[in-house]
Order: sequence, then C-alpha cells, then structure tokens
Amino acid sequence: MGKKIFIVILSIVFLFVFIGFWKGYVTLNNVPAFILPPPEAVAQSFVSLIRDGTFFAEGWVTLYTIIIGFGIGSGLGFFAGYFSARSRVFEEIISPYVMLIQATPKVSLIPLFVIWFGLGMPSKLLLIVLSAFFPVMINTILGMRSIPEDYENLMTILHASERSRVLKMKIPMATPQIMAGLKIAMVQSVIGAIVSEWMAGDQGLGYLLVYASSLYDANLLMSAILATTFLGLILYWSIELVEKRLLFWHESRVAFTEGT
Amino acid sequence: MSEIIVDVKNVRKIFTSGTKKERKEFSALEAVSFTVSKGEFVSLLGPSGCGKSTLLKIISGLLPASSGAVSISETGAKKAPPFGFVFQDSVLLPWRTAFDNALFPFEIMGSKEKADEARVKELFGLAKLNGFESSYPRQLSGGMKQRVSIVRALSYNPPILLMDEPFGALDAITRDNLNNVLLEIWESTRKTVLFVTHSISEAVYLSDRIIVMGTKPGRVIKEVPVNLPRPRNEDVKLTPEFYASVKELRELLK
Repeated sequence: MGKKIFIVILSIVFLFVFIGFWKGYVTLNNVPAFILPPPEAVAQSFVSLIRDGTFFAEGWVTLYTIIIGFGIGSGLGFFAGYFSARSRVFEEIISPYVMLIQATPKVSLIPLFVIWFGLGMPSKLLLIVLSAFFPVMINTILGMRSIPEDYENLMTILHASERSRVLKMKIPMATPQIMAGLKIAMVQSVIGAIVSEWMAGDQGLGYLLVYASSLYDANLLMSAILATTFLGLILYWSIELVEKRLLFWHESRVAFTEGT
Repeated sequence: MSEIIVDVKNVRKIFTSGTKKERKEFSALEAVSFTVSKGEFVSLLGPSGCGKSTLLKIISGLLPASSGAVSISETGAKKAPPFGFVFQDSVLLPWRTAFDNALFPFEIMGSKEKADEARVKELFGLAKLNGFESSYPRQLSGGMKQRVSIVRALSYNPPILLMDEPFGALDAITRDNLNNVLLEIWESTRKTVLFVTHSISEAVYLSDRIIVMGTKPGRVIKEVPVNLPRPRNEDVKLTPEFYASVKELRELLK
C-alpha cells in the first residue's frame, strides 16, 4: 500500500516538474506565444473551450464517427476472422487481398475516398472501418486457432451442436485474443478518425486541429491535442473495462485480482 | 465379470501424409483386438508411438478406424454418450467454477435433473474436492484440476470411463495421490475403465488386466492379468507379487 501511494505522489511531482520546466523554458527564452504558449495560457484556453461547448460539439462528431466505424469494422473483422479460422479454403482465397490491403497505409487511401465519396461521412467511416477491421480479424483467427485440440474433442464427445460449440466454447476461449484485437482496433480507429477529419471534414476534433494550425493559434491547437488525447483515453479505457469484466478468469487478470 | 462391454476387433489405423504423387503411409495400429468386461479396470500400456492414444480415440469415436470395428454394448442415459473421457490436460473451461465445469456436460446435452447435481456433489466428495466447488481452475493445482476433470467425465453417470494418460503431466507425488483417488472412485462406482498409460507401476497398481502394446507398427504384444487383491492401497506396491508383475512387463517392453 505504501509503495502505491509513493508511486502516485511521484508521478504527480513529475507532472509539476514537467510544467515548471515548460514555464521556465518559455519565460527564460522569450518564446513567442504562437509557437509555444505558456502552460497557464493553454490551460485557460482548454477550460474556455469546454465552457463554450466547442469540445463537446466537435468531440461528439468525432466520437460517434469512431463508434459507428469501429462497430462496423470490428464486427466485420470478427466475422471474417471467424470464417477464416473455420475454413482453410475461405482463408486462402481472401488472404492475398487481406495482406495487400493490410500492407497499404490506410491513410494513403483518403484522397481516393474523397474523389469517390466526397468530403463527408462516408469517406471518414470507410477509413475507420478499414482501420478497425484487420486487427480484429487477425486476432480472431489467432484466438480460434489457438484453442487446444482436446477442447474440440471434449465438445465432440458430448455431442455438442455447432451452435453450443461456438457459443459455449470457441468464442469464450478466443476472447482474450479478440479483446486484444479490439484494443488495437480502437487505437487505430481514433487515429483514422482524426486523420480523415484533417482531410475530409469540416467538423470534429481533427478538423479543429487543422483549423487551429492554419490560424497559428497554438493555444487552440494544444488544447485540441489534449482533447483528442482524452477522447482516445476514454475510448481505450472503456474497452479495457469490458475486457476486465469478460476476462476476470484470464491469467493476465490474475495479478490485478489476487495481487492486491 | 463376463459380460463384454467393449469389443475391439481387428482395428487398423493407417495415417497417410505427403503429396498425391508420393503418398506416404504410416501404420499406427496393426490388427488390434481385445475386449473389456463389465466393471473391469483395463490399462493400455506401451511406449510413446505405440498408438495407445490413437486406439482410445478410435474407441471413443473421435477418430475413424481404417478397418476393423469397435462395438460398445452399453448405452448412456438419454442423450449422453456411454463413456466419460479424461484427457491428459484437464480441459476445464477457465471462466467456470469447478462445480460449473463438472456440470458442463448437462448444459451441452440440455438436460439436468436434481439427481444429477446431487451426484456431482457426491463425486466432489469422493474426489476430495469438498470446499473447492466455487474455485476457478486457475486457483486450483494441476492435480485438483485433473480431479475436477474426472468428476466431469463421470457427471452424467456413464457406464464406461476412458482415460488418456490422465496423470502423465503431473509430478510423481501428485500422481500417486491421484491413483489412490481414482481407485477409491472406482471401488465405489464400479465403472468399466480403459486407462492409457506409459507407466508400468501405475498400470500394475490400478488394473485388473494390462494390454501391453509395442511400436512399429502399433500392436498388442500380450495381455497380462494382474492378480493383486482388492481393494488396494500403497502397501501392495511393496509385495513380491507387485514386483513380479512389474518385472514381467518390463521384460515385455524391452
């Protein structure tokens, strides 16, 4: 317990040291505010952007784009992974295309999407769907394939129907890997959303970043970066929360439940 | 001890590998025949690669035989298979408690009665697992997990118990303990047991009869009856009869 408090105190101290260093650097070197504003100015701007609702309005646009794109992408990724794991033929047919698309930096597709679908929601969603799809698909395959053979044998001996084999054994057994895939997918989705808003948006936190940059408004820019970070953290944590509930039984969780 | 429960007749198993042009055939089992009578404890003993696990998989229907036949003249209750199967690993579902793991077969077969739960409870006692009903597999030792796995195999009260090197992954001390637990369970339930092992002393200690198998190709070398008195305990391992059996088997397996 004492060690834990010590670590918390130390990390808070570290934060203050960092802010102090920032403030000192800006003041001593007379850094112009449009390049690096002092910490209190950024804090002020951040608070006022929360007060006037800008962050909530723009953040909401980004958030629901991510949620829809992540939902569709990871859902499709799960099914593609599930069927690939079941059927070697299916996997062999789609694997060259999967590799090809996976090797392509998704961001490089945005200009093409803009030509095809314009500057609106479809382009953004498509990028996020692609970003979320592959981590979930690959991890689902991995999870399904790493089920020890005797679990299949057990279900065969008990005359399990295909339905109960999948629902009561395969999916729960593969959940650790699927959750790992969802976490990566969420990180990728946030990146996808921000980048697509740079290029194809007139709303959202990504758009706010580009807008601030074009105005040389470093206060706004740094506040927007902070807001993006918070959004990413909240989304990542919500996945972790789900994981914690689902995987209370998994080795990776033992340290948390029994160690304290 | 006369009614034949498991009848294995001329079972062959050939595995093929390689490409279409160069097909390689590997004979895992060569004309294996033997029978198991009701209530009998029979071990399949042999070195790695003699096909004893393959044989057990064929008997349980997990693998098809290339030729020959296996007939089991017992039926399970309702939709249940006539046998319970214990694997080398416990194969427990890690998100279920020990008790829920033991009840898992009923969930799959979709029928559970009050008597079933009572029987599982009783088996928990026999397996000396009292007080661990609500533990999760990761909280149990390897030996305890394997005991839960035995309880699960017996949960739906099958007449036959098939065990595929169930204690092979455990340390020697735990293994001795589990042998005793298994004997106690067997004494009080009188299941027909077919037990695969590569440990000579384990086979002698547990069995009524030992089917000794050899490699290349996998085949039955000899059937050796074990005439040690029952019920057995650790003391039997110090008798000259026990040594004699072990010695005979060791010679056969050379």
